[in-house]
Amino acid sequence: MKKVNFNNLDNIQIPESWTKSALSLPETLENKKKVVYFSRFSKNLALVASLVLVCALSVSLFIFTQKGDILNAHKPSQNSESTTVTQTEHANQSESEVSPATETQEKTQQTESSTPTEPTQKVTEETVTETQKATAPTLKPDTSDPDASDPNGVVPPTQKPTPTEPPETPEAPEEAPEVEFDGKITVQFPSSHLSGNGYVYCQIYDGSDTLLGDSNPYSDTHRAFLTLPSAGNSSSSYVTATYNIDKGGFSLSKGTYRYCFYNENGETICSGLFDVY
Amino acid sequence: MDEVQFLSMSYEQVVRKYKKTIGSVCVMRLKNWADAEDCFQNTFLKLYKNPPDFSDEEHLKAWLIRVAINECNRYIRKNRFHLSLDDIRDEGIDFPEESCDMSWALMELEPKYREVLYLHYCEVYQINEIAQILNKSPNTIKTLLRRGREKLRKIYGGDGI
Repeated sequence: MKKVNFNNLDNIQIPESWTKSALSLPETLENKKKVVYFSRFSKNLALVASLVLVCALSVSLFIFTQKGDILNAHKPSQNSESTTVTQTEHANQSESEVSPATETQEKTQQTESSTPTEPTQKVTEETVTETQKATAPTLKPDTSDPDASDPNGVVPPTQKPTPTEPPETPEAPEEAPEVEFDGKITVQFPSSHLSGNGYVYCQIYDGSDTLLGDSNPYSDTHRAFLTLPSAGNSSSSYVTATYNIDKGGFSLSKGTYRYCFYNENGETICSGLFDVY
Repeated sequence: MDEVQFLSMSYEQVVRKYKKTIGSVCVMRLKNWADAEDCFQNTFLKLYKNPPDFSDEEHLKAWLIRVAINECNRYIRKNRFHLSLDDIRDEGIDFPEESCDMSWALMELEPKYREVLYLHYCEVYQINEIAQILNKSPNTIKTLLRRGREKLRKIYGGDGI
């Protein structure tokens, strides 16, 4: 009988090539180029893509919400208050914008209230009419109920009050400097202010703004004299009725008076103040 | 290149010291030189790439044997339905004349007996150590050893081990 000797198994000879291959493993690993496959970034790509998508959706939602707010802003039930504020602002704006015209109107109305003479009335009416025409849209929101003007409470762009310039009228009174009175008032004005036969009239108001002399604005007592027309300018002198008492004139005591030159159409050429010492 | 050290031994020293043990484990398990070489290379590749903290040389040796056995098992699972060219060419393992009969007898055993017998008689591992390496209970190792010896005796025809 033979005995089993396991020591024989220890004689298995491992080829030297195995050892060489195992020893060259570190070098092989170092020389091996790292190939990075695109699929390795798939998770990152998906993450970035989802982030971009979320951002885009957020932005679009934000824009959509803002548009919705703008659309809702035009509904009267929700934004009547803001509309009223806007109208008030426009009204204030129009008030400030039409202030020169309103001043003109006030001045002319002052004249009218003191002496309702024909030419002055004429001038005042025209001025008021034109001013009202010009300022009508702007004054509308100030004087009228916003609900009455537009049931929706929305001012359409066409009805939006536009700033109006004061009407440039030749009859706008020129603020002349205070003249030194020696019984005669002399002023200069552009010849374009003349009308009709070229007659110029002058009225004098006392300190209480009461018309002195004849109530007829075209009477001889108010007639001024044109002198030295040259280079587009005319000069007119008005000899006060102090020296024409015999023609229904009047005398001037000490005090401050206001003069007002106007043409045949009743259009004011210039006005100003003068003192009598 | 920084030299990788394993318990004050270089990689080359480890390979040269344990090449016979790991090679024999792979050959015993796979009964094929080419397949055994693949598992041999993979075992040392794992040692180089992911070495654990070894406490002593016995730990290193046991770890290498465990990895080699796992590599062989994985290889067998992977190539379960593949036919090796070595089988077609009938290129078996060549043993020296004096150990041919014994090796042939051992190769006829089932792998589970082969491993235990080899580790116990060739690598001189105790039953507890084999149980630790193969992750089995000592009683299982004892049973495997006893049955393996009986089967080997029948194959080899010996009257005692």
